[in-house]
Amino acid sequence: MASPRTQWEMWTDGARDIVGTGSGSVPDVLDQGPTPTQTSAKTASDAAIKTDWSGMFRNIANIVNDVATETHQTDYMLQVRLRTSELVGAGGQTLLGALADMGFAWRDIARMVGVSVPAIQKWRRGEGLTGENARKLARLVAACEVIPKFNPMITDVALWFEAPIVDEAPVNPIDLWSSGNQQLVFEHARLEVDPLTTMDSFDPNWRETYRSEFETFRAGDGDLSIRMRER
Amino acid sequence: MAHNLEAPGTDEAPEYESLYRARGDEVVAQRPIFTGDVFFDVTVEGEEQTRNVIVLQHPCVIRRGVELTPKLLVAEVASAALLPPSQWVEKFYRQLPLAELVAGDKPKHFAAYFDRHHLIKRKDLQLDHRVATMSQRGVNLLMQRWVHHNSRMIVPTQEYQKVTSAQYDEADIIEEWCIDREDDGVKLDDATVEIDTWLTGDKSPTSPRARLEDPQQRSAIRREVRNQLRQVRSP
Repeated sequence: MASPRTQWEMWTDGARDIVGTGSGSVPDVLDQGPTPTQTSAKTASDAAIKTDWSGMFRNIANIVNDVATETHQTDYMLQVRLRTSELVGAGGQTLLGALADMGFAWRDIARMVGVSVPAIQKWRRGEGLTGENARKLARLVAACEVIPKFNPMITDVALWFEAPIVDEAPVNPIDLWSSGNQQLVFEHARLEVDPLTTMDSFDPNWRETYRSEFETFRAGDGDLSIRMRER
Repeated sequence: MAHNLEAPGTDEAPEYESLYRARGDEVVAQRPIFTGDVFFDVTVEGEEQTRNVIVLQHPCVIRRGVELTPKLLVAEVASAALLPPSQWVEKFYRQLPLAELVAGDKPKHFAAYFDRHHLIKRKDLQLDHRVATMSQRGVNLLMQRWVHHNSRMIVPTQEYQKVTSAQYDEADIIEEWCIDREDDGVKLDDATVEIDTWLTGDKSPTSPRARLEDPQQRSAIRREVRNQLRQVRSP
């Protein structure tokens, strides 16, 4: 039985297909390893070939990156879904206790689940919640468990949810989640898109929406006050 | 883009319920009196007839520690037609519309009228007369319209959010603590003193109340409150 092909062999075959060359005409660099740009071109013709190859490798790298990103996203969304299914039967009190232990405010939990604060307070006291709301609550807990695994820099998940995505606007992952943009929350956690792109996806007009001529400052009595910015 | 007065949602998708934290039977006595609280049938200074009122002032100035100031400024609340959000922006500057203040199958609409203000004594703001507490968004909209009414200046609500969120978080913490401690058999007044003492700490910049001013500390403080609750409950 033939031995399994290495990743490198598959890539080089793919590269040959992309550039439409037979295996005999592929430069030696391909067979020497994954550093073709280290070869030095002596002529303009060599340089052109080298450029083609490095461009091709760049394309392959992009394709591999896209496939790996998509696979990774699918995998961690699957992880969230499976964890949600595990948690959904835990009961409102347990799930709310988990979120409170993480440091979430009841009002933020209420917003993200799409209910009122009094509804949350009733669940805390043991009143039943609908299956749909149990699933929403379980999904939030699952997300809060999974997100720090995908970004080890997130050590306080409640703080992370409350922190503005960019300095220029008071929009945070709680706002994303509450408005149904949960995928954006995961992408933001993974740093897969830059924060400005996340904001553009959430609200294309955010720069205008949240532009302010004002600033807050600590006044003489120690409390925060509002004043016009200096121009 | 120039700043306009803001509104809860749009005419196509109004978000009236987002004004409130709790209404009617949902209002709990454990929540400290706060900006935007609505009281029905209370006695205001210099008037024989009881009034429906809303607390107007910024949370910083209505109390010192757990004690409310002896008198508070309130505006009268009365029945009103439902104003779609576009009307909030364009006119009716002398009021804060309180759409669906009384919730239900046939919700009733009210408004707080800024040109009908009164003083009310602390003792006359009785908790069993409180019919609504505002969400953070509701407080921000109230502050924006109240300041505009008084000064013709429009400040974006995101700025009010920054200068009221610490106090709002503190009110949340006090409410949660008092609910849990009443479950333990502790009287509301005693529970309020317990949590105020904890929040005050040594009055240093590292006390919980001082740290609440920093949004980055709030999740940690909420965890500390829960740990404190476990400690006082442990034998």
